[in-house]
Amino acid sequence: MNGTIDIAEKLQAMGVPVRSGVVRPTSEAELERALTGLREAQARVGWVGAQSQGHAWTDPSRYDVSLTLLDMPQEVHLDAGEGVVRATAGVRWGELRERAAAQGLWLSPDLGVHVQATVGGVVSAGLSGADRDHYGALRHQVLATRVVLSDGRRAPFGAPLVKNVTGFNVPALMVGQRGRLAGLLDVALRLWPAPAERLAWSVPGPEGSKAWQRLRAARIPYLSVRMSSDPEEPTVLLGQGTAGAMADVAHRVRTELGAHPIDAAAHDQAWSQSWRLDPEARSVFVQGSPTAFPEIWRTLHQENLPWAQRLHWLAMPEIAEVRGVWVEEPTDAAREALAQHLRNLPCRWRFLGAGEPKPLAGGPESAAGLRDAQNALRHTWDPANLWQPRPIDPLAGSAQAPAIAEEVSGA
Amino acid sequence: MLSAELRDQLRSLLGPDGYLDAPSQRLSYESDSLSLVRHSPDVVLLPKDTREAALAMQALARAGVPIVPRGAGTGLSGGATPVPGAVSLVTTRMRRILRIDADQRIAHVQAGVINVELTRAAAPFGLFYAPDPSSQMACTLGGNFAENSGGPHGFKYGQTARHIRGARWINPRGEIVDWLDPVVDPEGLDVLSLLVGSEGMLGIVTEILVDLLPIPEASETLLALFDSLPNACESVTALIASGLRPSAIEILDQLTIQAVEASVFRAGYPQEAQAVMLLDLDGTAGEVEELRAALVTILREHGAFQTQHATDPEQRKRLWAGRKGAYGAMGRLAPDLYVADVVAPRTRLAEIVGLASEICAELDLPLANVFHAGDGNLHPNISYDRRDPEQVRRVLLAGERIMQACVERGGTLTGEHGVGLEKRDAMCSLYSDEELAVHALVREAIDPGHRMNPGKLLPVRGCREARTRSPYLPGMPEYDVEVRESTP
Ligand SMILES: Cc1cc2nc3c(=O)[nH]c(=O)nc-3n(C[C@H](O)[C@H](O)[C@H](O)COP(=O)(O)OP(=O)(O)OC[C@H]3O[C@@H](n4cnc5c(N)ncnc54)[C@H](O)[C@@H]3O)c2cc1C
Ligand SMILES: Cc1cc2nc3c(=O)[nH]c(=O)nc-3n(C[C@H](O)[C@H](O)[C@H](O)COP(=O)(O)OP(=O)(O)OC[C@H]3O[C@@H](n4cnc5c(N)ncnc54)[C@H](O)[C@@H]3O)c2cc1C
Repeated sequence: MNGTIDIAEKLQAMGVPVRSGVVRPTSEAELERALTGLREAQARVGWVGAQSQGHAWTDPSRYDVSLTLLDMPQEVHLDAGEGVVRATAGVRWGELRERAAAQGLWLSPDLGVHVQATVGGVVSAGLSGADRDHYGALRHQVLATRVVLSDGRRAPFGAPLVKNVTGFNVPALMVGQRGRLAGLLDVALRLWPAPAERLAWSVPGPEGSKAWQRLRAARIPYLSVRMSSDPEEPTVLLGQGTAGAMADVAHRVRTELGAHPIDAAAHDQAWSQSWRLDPEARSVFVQGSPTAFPEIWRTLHQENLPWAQRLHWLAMPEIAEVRGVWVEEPTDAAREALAQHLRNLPCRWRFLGAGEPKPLAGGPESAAGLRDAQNALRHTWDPANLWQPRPIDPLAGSAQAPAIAEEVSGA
Repeated sequence: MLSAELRDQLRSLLGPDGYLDAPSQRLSYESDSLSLVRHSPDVVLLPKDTREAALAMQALARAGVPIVPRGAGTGLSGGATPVPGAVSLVTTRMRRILRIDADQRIAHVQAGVINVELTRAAAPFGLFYAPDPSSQMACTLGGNFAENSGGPHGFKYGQTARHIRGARWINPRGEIVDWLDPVVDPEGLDVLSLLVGSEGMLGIVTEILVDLLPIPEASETLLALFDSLPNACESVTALIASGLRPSAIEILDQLTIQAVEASVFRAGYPQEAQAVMLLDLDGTAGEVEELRAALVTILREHGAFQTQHATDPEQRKRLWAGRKGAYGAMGRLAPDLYVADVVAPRTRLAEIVGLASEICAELDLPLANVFHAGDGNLHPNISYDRRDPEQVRRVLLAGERIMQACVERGGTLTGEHGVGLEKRDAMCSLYSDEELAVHALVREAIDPGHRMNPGKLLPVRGCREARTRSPYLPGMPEYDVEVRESTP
């Protein structure tokens, strides 16, 4: 292809709006024309939503054009009786949450201040957020989706029902796929009864990871832990549930952990602000098992990551997450030094942020067989490699038969 | 047909306990619990671990032989039913619980471990495994993984997928792929989530990492009696709307109550009730108390004429015995049972249950309902005798009409038993040929040779043809299996 300008001109000639390298269809007919034009031009396309992910995944310079469904007519169908909301991909997450709240329902994840993010972007980015403990990971919220492939084919998967195993679980595969397999046109998401109570407590003591250990040992349900590397900030426990459950939890948290109640809404607000990732900021995002939490904590604190401005910690029974945020682009050496530490810990991690994304991601699933399966999916769904055609971090490997294959051939 | 050389190779690899080819040995592998369809596998392979399974699959891959994975064979959609030319690869010798990590709340199991054994093994640690299909005394965790099985407590705890943290998977080429570090959010494309519920069509799972949950501080069972089935259904709709979250909401209708009460599974359900609802409540002590009070109010408002609650474990077990033994009890009604598995929107439960009973009445078939009401997952059960072809015809017709009624009202084909062979062609009631071709890309990517469980889940021929016939009527042309030449 000859570049962005040619494609933009071609699409505009076809009556499709294009602004600053972003294709912005405003109707089904325009979307269809845009997809046809892009296909004919064999254009490399980056799907984008509200671009709150910054440039790492949506940098227009990596593609011939970006494509967003933000200007399309948006539709929301909320079925409170079933507990499902169906929305077109360009609907804002914040709007959906508000609509759910108006009916006493809750949409997970709670993106905090990122109300502008779109349904397509949130699902494609695949982050589950802090309330995963209560509602499950994002992949368990996505019940159905309608997708379009780079060759123009469209198909629905799943159903807007809370239980369904009809066909392959493609809705879950779409979570975190980042537009590499398909564009999401609409999505059906599960809704939950809004928690009757949301309470917060601060835990005394200097070291949050100890509080976490005590909490796990005590097996107090319905709680997650938040803390930051700022010594001024307390370790906070958050709980949500029915009034009866929270009364029991509050009693145990006070008597067994010596925690004091604080204002949950104010804490949520502050936490959400502090977690906010400036599109220009760089960060490292680490996930580990909850039992590894103290070890990860110790390592990252001892090493004192000179370039990291701040660490945010989040621990739930299923997972411990930490995000380190820093201001300046770390050097490759600093990045590698951090990776060295992380490699020795039971965790996985990735770097997010501005600039050229570095193919540095860790995790045991980077095994050859998995890469094969991922690549095969990629090549089957998008054989011309037109959509989000960037090297995928852990997917660069080639097919490699495991050792056991040799045993057989020798047999 | 398997060559003599391949047979020898498999026999020497798996030993006499792992290789069965005598007709009498193969007999019990002819079908799963959808007994309408039967076919004898050429050979039955029972590897005892991942390594043996991988080696066998490599040998089969080289010879281009199709494989039908099988756990305990309790599936109800013909998923593990053999197809011509295929070998059955059965996991029932892989029955070891490899590790329970009480600190991480994770268990590492072989795929052939029986569901209930895991919960028993976890209990001393104060933990339990949440997915509890009603077949849990027999079904394997591998089968649960492959079907994304549910169960009564799925209402609160979700289906199997929600509890999977990792797996050891053998792809169709016989290569082992590991995710044995507990995955929370996978990096890259989420292949593991795709494998869950893939009905054995993308390879075989030999080991699984699952979440264990702390046993709740308090739990109890609530029994509500109704003078009509529609009232019981309406009260579920109201209960969902109220936002209350018991851990299970199950309904049994009158025919089921009678069958249960006349059987060894007697639970003491009053026979004058037209429907009973069984609810489990769990959480903290205060939470359970609060929940019970709120539930009883709603149930009474919607026609429950009596409610009782049980906290004593023995009493609770007894109340649940009727639900868990319902299918066994229905054995009294006729030699065979067809268990439908559809999902109705939760606001239309009463309507669709009513339609199912009209359909069965019209076709002169006895219908007993026992179902996961909280999730809208209906199981209209039809007792029949498979030796009578005329009855079989009516049963199949009823099954199709119930599915159709459900789909037309916004429901879907299956909530937990899978598509398998049974509902394969009914996929055409939801999707067009063009859409199904996109669904098929999943298999195309992982199993381009179509050797894993061929002829299941995806219609083999075009929808026009599929709509005009049923895939498992006697005399159908060889199950439509299509295995490609270009394997592996
Ligand atoms: C609690 C929480 C906090 C978070 N905080 C931050 C934060 O501070 N900063 C941040 O950047 N992210 C954060 N995230 C991640 C967040 O989910 C995404 O950044 C954001 O929601 C994406 O929405 P968007 O519309 O801006 O998508 P974009 O940023 O435009 O795109 C996100 C990804 O989705 C793809 N995509 C977008 N639309 C489609 C579509 N229709 N079809 C296919 N692919 C598509 C893009 O290619 C890209 O890979 C957070 C998530 C959680 C759960
Ligand atoms: C009385 C009764 C009650 C039931 N109640 C429930 C219920 O409450 N909820 C529910 O969800 N189901 C229920 N079922 C259906 C059935 O028990 C489940 O589908 C169960 O998960 C099947 O497990 P299995 O080991 O018997 O698998 P099988 O029937 O042997 O196989 C099921 C499918 O999984 C595939 N498979 C099996 N093992 C593997 C493996 N290791 N790797 C890859 N693929 C594999 C097979 O190819 C097949 O497609 C019930 C069945 C009966 C008979």
